[in-house]
Amino acid sequence: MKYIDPKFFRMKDQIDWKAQGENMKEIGGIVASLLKETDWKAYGKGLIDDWKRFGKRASYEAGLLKNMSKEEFLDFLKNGEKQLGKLYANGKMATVRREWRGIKDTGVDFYEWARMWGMLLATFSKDLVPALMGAVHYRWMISYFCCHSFMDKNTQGLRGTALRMHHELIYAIFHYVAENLVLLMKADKKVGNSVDLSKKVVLFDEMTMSQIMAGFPDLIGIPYQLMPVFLLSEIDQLACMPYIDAVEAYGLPADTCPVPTSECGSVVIDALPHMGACFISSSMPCDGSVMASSYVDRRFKDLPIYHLAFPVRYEDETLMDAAVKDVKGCIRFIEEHTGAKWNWEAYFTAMKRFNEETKYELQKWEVNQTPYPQLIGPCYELFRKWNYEMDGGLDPRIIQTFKKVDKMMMKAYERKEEAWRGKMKYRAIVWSIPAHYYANFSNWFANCWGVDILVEMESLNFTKPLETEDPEEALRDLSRLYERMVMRRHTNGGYDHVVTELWRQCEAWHVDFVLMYQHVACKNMATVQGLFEDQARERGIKLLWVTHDLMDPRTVSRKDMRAAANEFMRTVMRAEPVDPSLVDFEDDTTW
Amino acid sequence: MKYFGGCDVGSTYTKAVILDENGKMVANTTMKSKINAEESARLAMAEVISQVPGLKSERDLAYLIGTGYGRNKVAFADENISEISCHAMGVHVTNPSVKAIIDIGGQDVKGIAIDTDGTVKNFAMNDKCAAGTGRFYEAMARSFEMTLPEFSKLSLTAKNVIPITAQCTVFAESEVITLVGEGKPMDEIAAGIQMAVAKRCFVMAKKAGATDSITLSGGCAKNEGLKAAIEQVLKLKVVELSVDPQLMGALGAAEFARQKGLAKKA
Ligand code: SF4
Repeated sequence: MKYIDPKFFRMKDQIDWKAQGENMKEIGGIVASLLKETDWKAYGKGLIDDWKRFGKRASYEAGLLKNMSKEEFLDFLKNGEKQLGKLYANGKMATVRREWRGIKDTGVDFYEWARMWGMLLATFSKDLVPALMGAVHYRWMISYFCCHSFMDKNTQGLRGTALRMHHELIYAIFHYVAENLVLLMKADKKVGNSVDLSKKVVLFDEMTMSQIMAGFPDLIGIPYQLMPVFLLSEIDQLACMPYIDAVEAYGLPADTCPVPTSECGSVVIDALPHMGACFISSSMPCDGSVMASSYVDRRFKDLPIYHLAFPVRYEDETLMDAAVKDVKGCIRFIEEHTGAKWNWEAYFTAMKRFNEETKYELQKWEVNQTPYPQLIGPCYELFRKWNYEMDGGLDPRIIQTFKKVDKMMMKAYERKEEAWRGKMKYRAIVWSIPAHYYANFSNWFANCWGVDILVEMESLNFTKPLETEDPEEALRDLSRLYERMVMRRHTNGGYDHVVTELWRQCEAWHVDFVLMYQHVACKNMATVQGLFEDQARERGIKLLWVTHDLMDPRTVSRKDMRAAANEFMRTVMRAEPVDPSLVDFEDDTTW
Repeated sequence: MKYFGGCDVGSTYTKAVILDENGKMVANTTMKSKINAEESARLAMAEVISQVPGLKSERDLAYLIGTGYGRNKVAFADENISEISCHAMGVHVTNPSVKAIIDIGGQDVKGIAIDTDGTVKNFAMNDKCAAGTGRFYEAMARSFEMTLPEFSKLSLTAKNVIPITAQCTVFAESEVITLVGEGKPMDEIAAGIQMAVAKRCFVMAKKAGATDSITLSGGCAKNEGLKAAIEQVLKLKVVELSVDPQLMGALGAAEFARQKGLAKKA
């Protein structure tokens, strides 16, 4: 069967045209007052200034080219530019142009750029009207227009095979995003209002394993907050600010973690689509996220909710009987509210695929543990997390991505290619609550200082193959997987999985240092910080502490995060930047 | 004879040092920083240059390194090096047996672990708030209507310590005003403030991996009351430096300049 079942896209919309008309009238009013309030003279001057700046930049870059020796110029043509700081300009919030990667790689890059546009257009045209209406209903939808910038920033500095592999991964993620956006807008009561589709949708939060939906091939599972909150904040750094401000204005203390804060804020400003046959909520990792669940609960009163909430003990087998009972209860609940029947055959088929995908994942790690790591950086980690939590083996197209990338990776490994050509100096792994997606930190670190992030803590959570024959054991595996979802390690992992495990990983990945992300709002890891420091010193392992506040760059700016890394590299590693043009730049030059 | 300079442009004070080829300090100065960091650097350099016969301007120095918060503004320097590296080197050349520093600057507190060659092994920094920094002391002394040395001396006379619970400068100031208003002994409140900062330093010293001894650098290192509180809280010996601890950044910069200048010549 084709995934996603095409019939979902064909289901009838029941758009309330009167309500849409009123909405458009309101939007029209806003646009009209915006036009009225605009200082057109200043706008015109801004445009002229932009052109002047463009002229200056063009002549500066032409001068650089002119001053190159013949060898330098040939290298520029073949391998592209090396000083990436040129791509940023104050106040622009995006690169001033796309990166020159050399003739061949720039060609590849443009092809991928066009392929992404093609895919987006083809996917949205499956039901364009609700999608367009969604864009005027939800401001977060607009941020998805920036997915090409996300692609650019996540491939910055990459060349050759690494570039092509990253494009494959980004494409797979955005294909999923585009399809889910279309379905979200189609099923949303405020937009497409497709009652038939809504009946087929099961919503769940980010801690529920999507694999449970593999047993319901006639339904579609959508992680509720993924599109309007999480992925969004990785595409657009400032996208969660309205959510955070809204719920803080409501009285939420400002030192709460921005993850649940944003989720609650999205409810407060009514940014979550309204749909679905039922909602599966999970036992969340911390008080903040429990609060977020309660907000969703109160907002969508008509949505039947099942709390899949057996006690999470990370690896306590005595809990399994209770856990299996809870998972069975969840399956029954979905059956009751959708009329669908759990299908073991479909589940086992998908899990066989998922196990194969996990094998490919392990192969990547094996390669990355050698002196020639190939698939590194935040984009790969994002793919891993997405595959593990959201895709979960359900989409048969993804195994093809794995196969393709694996083939490329093994060839590149045999040829001893460098993922960041000439920029691979230090090996590091990420521990604690990672901020690299939001801040595009690992890419910057590789390009500026030659630091290669080989793996991160969250990726290592669970690699056990899931049972594909015995139903009872399969349910136990689902429970084990649930216990190892994202954020579980630092909240429920305990000493061995959090502290001791780091030293084991340091050995396996042969690291020069560990990038310790210190999330100011997450108190869980703060309890063991002293232990990390003492034990690292005893073992002679260097720790770079980078303070951050996930998707809220106002608490700790991205510039401050980079400054901490700059200081560490200069003083502790006694390093020189591989690209000095990236050492210091303002946050308003990039997202 | 060739001379080498180090200029540490801090948020509150600007310091400059000149070393000769043998590493002997031949000139130094400490002056209040101006709002313009470049001007502060020029004034401090002009002062140390005037102390060395035969030197007319910074161009006569064989090598000059800028450091500190305003280091990028020392436009006439040959190079900039971070203040963390310079403090470590400054302490190392003053007393090579010291392996950990707490540097209390005007705006931040740092814990620094020094390697055997004077380079940095590791560091920890609190630059997010003013608690436990020079600014914090200024605010506290202001509440007492005293100068910093007077405040420091007063704290040493206390028989008891009144704990100050607030770490934030703003809250601590109002807590202190309340205690003063309640008629609590001033010396005991002052000792409480010293203890609060010492506890803050404890975290930094731990991060820097201090084991048996530690030294203080930066302006607050001259605060005897703080030294006593740190010894009490950290149970570590606070090593006295033979050179003004406020000069450590500039001295380290000058030593780096000497090493680099001599290597360049070679
Ligand atoms: S990062 Fe920490 S505080 Fe934030 S949601 Fe996760 S567990 Fe909770």
